[in-house]
Amino acid sequence: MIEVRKLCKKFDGFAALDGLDITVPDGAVYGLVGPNGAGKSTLIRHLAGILRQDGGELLFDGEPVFENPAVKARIAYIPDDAFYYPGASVKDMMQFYRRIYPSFSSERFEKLGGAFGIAPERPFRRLSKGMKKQAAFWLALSVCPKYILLDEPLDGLDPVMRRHVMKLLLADVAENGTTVLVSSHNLRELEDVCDHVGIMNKGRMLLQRPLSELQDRTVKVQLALPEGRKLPEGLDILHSSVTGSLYQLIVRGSTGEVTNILSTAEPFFIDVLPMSLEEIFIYELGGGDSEVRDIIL
Amino acid sequence: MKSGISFFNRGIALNLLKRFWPLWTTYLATLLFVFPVNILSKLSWELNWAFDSSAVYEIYAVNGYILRTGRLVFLASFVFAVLVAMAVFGYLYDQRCCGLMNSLPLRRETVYSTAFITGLAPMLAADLLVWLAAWLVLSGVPNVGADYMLQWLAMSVMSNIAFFGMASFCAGLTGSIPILPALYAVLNVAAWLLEAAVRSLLDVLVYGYAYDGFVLSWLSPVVRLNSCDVESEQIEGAAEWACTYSIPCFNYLIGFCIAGIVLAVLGLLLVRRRRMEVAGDVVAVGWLKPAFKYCMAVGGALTFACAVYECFFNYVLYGVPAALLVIAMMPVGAFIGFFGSEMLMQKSLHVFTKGWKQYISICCCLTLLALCAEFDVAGYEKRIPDFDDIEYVSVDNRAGKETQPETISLCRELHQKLIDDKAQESGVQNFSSVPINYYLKDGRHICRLYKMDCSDEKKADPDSAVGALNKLYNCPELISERVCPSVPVTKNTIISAGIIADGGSPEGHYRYDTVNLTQEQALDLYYSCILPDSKEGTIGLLFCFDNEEVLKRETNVNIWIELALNPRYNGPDAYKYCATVYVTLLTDSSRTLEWILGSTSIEPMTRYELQQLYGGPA
Repeated sequence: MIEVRKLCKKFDGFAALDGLDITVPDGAVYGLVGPNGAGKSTLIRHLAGILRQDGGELLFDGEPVFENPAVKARIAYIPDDAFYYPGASVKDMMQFYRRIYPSFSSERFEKLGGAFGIAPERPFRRLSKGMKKQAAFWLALSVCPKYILLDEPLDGLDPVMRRHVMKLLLADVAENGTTVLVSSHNLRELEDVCDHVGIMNKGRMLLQRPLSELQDRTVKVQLALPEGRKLPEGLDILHSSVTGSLYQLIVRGSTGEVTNILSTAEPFFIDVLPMSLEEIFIYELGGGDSEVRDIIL
Repeated sequence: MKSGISFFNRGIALNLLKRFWPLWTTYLATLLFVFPVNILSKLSWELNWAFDSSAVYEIYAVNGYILRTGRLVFLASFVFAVLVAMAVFGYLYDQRCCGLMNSLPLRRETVYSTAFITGLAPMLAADLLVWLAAWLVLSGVPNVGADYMLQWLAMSVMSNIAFFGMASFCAGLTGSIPILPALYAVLNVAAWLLEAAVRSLLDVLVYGYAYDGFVLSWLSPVVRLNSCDVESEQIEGAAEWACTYSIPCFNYLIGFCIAGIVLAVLGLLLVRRRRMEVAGDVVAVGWLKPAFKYCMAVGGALTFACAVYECFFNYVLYGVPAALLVIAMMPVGAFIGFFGSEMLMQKSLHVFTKGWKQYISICCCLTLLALCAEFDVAGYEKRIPDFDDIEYVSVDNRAGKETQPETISLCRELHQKLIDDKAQESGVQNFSSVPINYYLKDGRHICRLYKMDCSDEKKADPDSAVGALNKLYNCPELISERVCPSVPVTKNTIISAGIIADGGSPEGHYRYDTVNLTQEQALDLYYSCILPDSKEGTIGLLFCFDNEEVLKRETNVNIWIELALNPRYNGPDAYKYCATVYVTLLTDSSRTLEWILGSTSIEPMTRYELQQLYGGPA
């Protein structure tokens, strides 16, 4: 488990992180969302053990990460712009990592080579941005980490490779119980893979929830009522829009509860519609709160 | 649970060696050139004359050659140490690389110490390889001393450790890779440079200021080591060319090596505490930022004022105008240093909105110090040591040792007159530099250097400083020193002797007549004429000016006798065992004049007569 408590960090007087709390359970795929400058990369760099915090704690299974090789050996970190030694090839970096990480698996590296289709002897300077990102995943997965920290990982990847990479990640999660923390400023990107989501802004966590809990708590329904019929009482409506007799509602509550209550109005039909992560967060945080809307959109 | 600390990681080391091997290879090649190739080529050239006796000396001197490569070794260490440091500690200066290295499961100490060991070990290995190669190359040369070879190895190893330790420390101080070599170079010369600037400014501000060598040059290693020359000493009872050689700065090098190790450890502590987000910053240690600004301000003030004066106004401005110039230039230099450093740290040109209070306070402090110097708050300018405190004096650059009370009194009298002339300093056009050195009984050394006004008016005044200097130069003790050198005048010590008469010709050409003397003639002239005349004060005089009286007394004839304790010794320090008697014939040097007229064809003329005949300076 990753635990962050009251994390603070300033750069030349500017508070990049301001009492941040975050908990990532074991085996979770945690999506960290926020606008540019929210502090996502700063948080991830703290988690990777690169930066030393001004205040607060960062714990991996109860152990602090900073200057702790035993903990860092279990972490693989892919920054948004990874560094490779000038002139190095994938093979060179593989050899470098193999000598440093005790859990590095050469067999896994060979096996994943087929999945990525990049020649290991090719120098990094000859690879495109997307291929460099693929190579970063290749090396990170070969470390066989317990934790993977990804900072804007899908930038530069084509849609096919995005899906492929996330599939590999999820397979790792399923197989080995790897915990993944992935940051993005795009909720839609994280929708299919994350089971936990947290929203950051201005160095603080605004909201963090398991996705299932959110999905169980909010329902989007579309229904048509007979003329003159009103919506029944007892609904916690977060948002409603009406076009003639057609109602589109976002209601807090489980699907069953909500449909039961609505049925009492004898509508012509009730449709339960899928809600995007984006919609859940917008309405969960107050139905169109401009700050959150700006963050997410 | 944290893992135990290890100090070396093979992965990092192999990575560094693989990427930067050309650096160490270049160092090895440089050292091969500096040492065995250099000596071999020098010996090959000398051994072409193998059957000449001087070449035998050269073979003995091979040990001196071995040690003399020390300067080049120090220079190579100085240069390559910082290049290697830039390579192995390069991870500290790039945000992305820093991110990679610090995300690895390694402690910072491990990465730093691995980089340090990987950087230094190949350099030391190169030293050993070159040393072995030199043994091979010199195996056919006789008299190569194993102790000298070991000294060479020790010099090379210690200078590498020292300079690399310093470079590693600098690597921890900054977050910007171009600043690392600049900082390293500055630290190597800063003390010497600042001392030179301060002394130069004191020379302007303080009347009579002088100094006996640089006190702080030991804090500037590259300056100190570069000035280190090999000393030789003849071996008593051995062959005439046999010498022992030594390097006077060997102990200094040991101390510097220890300092290098200490600095390397300090570098480790800096990197351990360092925040990795400072990658790219000029100053990586937060609390050092104000210190950096203040140092740059003070350094800028001193060096700028010194540079402006020395480049444009030296030999033009003296006294109060010069002091005013210097005091005016210091705030300009402080401005450049202070705000320039701010620009470097902020990486912006827009730095003038704040910091003015600190800048003005620095300027005020410097101006106050300068004014204290100019107005002699410490009483330096007026100080003349008491007669009873003085053991001996030295009044020119001969490093003489005058102990007689009369000489000391004349020296103090001269000193007082020079102090009294301070008010006229700024108006002096024609001057002569006069050093005065007092060596006190308590071991202290007081030195002064004055620009003595040598205008015609002063030359004509026997009560002026010129007159006082003239009296001093021609006191019995100094005459005796000129006439009786440290090497006794005997048949065995005379190398050459002669008489030269210089002057003009009707055609306006400069010409001279020379008569070489035999040893017997030189001995006769010296003991029967020069010595008695000097006791009467009629030869061996030195005039500080050339008025009509002097021109009518001095002739155009000079006598020289060159002496050497061991005439056949031609070693590099042979000058220590040589001396020269050089005197000018005066019209009242009766015995000497008679001897010359009777034994040579030279017809002495006074300088006044020459001037009348041929015009121009005599």
